[in-house]
Amino acid sequence: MKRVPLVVGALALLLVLGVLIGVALGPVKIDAHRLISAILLHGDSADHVLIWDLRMPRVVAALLVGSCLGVAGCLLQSATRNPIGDPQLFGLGGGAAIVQALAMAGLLRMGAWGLVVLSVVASLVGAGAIALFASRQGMSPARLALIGISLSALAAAAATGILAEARVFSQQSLNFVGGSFVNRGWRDLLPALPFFGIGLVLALPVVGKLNALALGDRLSANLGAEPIRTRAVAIASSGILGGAAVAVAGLVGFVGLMVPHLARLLVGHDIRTVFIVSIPLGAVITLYADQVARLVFVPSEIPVGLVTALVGAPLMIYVARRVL
Amino acid sequence: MKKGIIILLHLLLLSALLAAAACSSETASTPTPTSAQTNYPLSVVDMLGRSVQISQHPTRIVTTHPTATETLYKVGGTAVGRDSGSKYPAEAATLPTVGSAYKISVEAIAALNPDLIIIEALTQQNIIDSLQTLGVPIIAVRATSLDDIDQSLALVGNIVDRDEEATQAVADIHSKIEAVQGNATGGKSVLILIADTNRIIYAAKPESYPGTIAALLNLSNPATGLPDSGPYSGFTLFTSEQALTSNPDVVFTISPAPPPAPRLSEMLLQIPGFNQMTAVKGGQVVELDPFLFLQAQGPRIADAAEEMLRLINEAAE
Repeated sequence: MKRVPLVVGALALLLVLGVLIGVALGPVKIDAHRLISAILLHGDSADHVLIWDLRMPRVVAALLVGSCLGVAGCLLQSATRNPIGDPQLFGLGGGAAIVQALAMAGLLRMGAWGLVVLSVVASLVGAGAIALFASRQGMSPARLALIGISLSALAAAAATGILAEARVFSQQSLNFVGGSFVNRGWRDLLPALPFFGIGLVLALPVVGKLNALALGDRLSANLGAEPIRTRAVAIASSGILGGAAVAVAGLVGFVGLMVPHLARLLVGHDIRTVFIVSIPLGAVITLYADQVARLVFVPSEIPVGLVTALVGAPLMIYVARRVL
Repeated sequence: MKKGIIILLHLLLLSALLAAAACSSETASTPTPTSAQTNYPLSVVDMLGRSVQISQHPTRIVTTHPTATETLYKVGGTAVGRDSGSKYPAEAATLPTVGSAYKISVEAIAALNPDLIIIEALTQQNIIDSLQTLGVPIIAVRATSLDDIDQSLALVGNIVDRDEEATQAVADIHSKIEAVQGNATGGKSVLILIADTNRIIYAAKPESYPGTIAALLNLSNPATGLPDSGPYSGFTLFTSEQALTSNPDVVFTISPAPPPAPRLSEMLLQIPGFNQMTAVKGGQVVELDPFLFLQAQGPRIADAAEEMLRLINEAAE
């Protein structure tokens, strides 16, 4: 696979460019000189606050959430042998969304750390349900997907009900293209970082065995891939990553679904390379989607979930027709 | 069969009215000049520009929005049903409800057998079609500006034959606002903020109701002239970067979600950019009553202005 370094290199380049766009452009115009001095020099100047406290955390949030969702989708799709594996579609994000809704309604009074922990726990509950169903004999991918979608619909209904009851300003909140990176600061991000690390570290030792899982449980067991344990670890890891992502940005759709498919188009079917590429690919897609959301109608914004859906839906239709 | 019942009810109503009229004519022996008296059937144009026929003096009125309820009661009318958010005046708060203003139950309205429905023009235009199946006249009122309020009061006053009260109400509101304006020193700049569930923050422009009130007090508004953005007319999406560069003396926040939902005034301290504003750092952030300043737009605009002035003066101390 000679293409892997090329792909990773191109993604890294795109990432650098995306970060630059995210930091340099915005409602307040900043020229190159001011930009560089604001980045390099420390101080309490307005430019410094603008770059380091407003634009930078948002860029990092997009990178973090994108990577989390990309990896979570990759792990779910392999572990459940299901092309429509996605933390949101499988109901993993649902539990975390309920936690966020409860916090917004004021029914959970806890700090940013507590909320992230609770989101991850809630997401793990969803992951547990999926893992349980996925381990049942004769559970076809379609049936698993149906169960996952039902779980997430249930969670979305509960979250919507909580918000409607709390009568929050927008009826907009009741929409289903959600997710936002607006007004996220460092204090919203920091608590999610360790879970990103934990999710990745947890998944690393089992990634290699996921290849064998594609052959079916019996065959993969013969190959020493320990299908039950491997699947459980992979799903738990995607639960942690998905929960952390929702805690930061809410339900950003389509990233987890789309990234592994794109990665497979780029680097083939070896899960180890797909896993590696999913990290920067998820970050790139989410980062650019947020730049579109932020900059197209400056100073107004469109929801980032709208952009990911606009890009992701046609792409998925293509993948479904030509590749799967 | 159904028609028969309706006709019967109308006859009953008519006879009750006649009886009432007979009673009142006995007590009020001196005939007053009838120049302002409303003659039915009546044709009016409501605040959405719709022509509406009112065939008789309405006696069973349902209001579906706090603006509608408060406008009706301000001219001395009474309702038989209201939306669940209409809690002022106190006598309206005990009426049966027909759902919340954003989720009206047509069936609950039908059960009250109304002869007039008053809705709010900006937010309830979409329910007109389904209400029309009831065959009852529907009137839209609006209260985004002082002019809107004057016109809505005159309109409803005319329909319920309370023109004098309506004129009086308009005069009262104007004189009270003038009195409040007399006490206002003005000159300060205020930013009025509201947030949605995605933590997106909107600022009220002078075209919105809370913006109108600030403008009445001669307060300048950093959101003036910004484009309408986001789903709410009169409000503009306000980014953290705009917050950083705007420099209002006082920040007002509106948190429509009832407690225990966190107040926006507290949340601002955690939101980058907004927490860098001088007013936020200095504690010049004041929570506004979401009912008085957002949901119940209407004849209490003078009270709202008085309240805002009091809060401004308190924050300045």
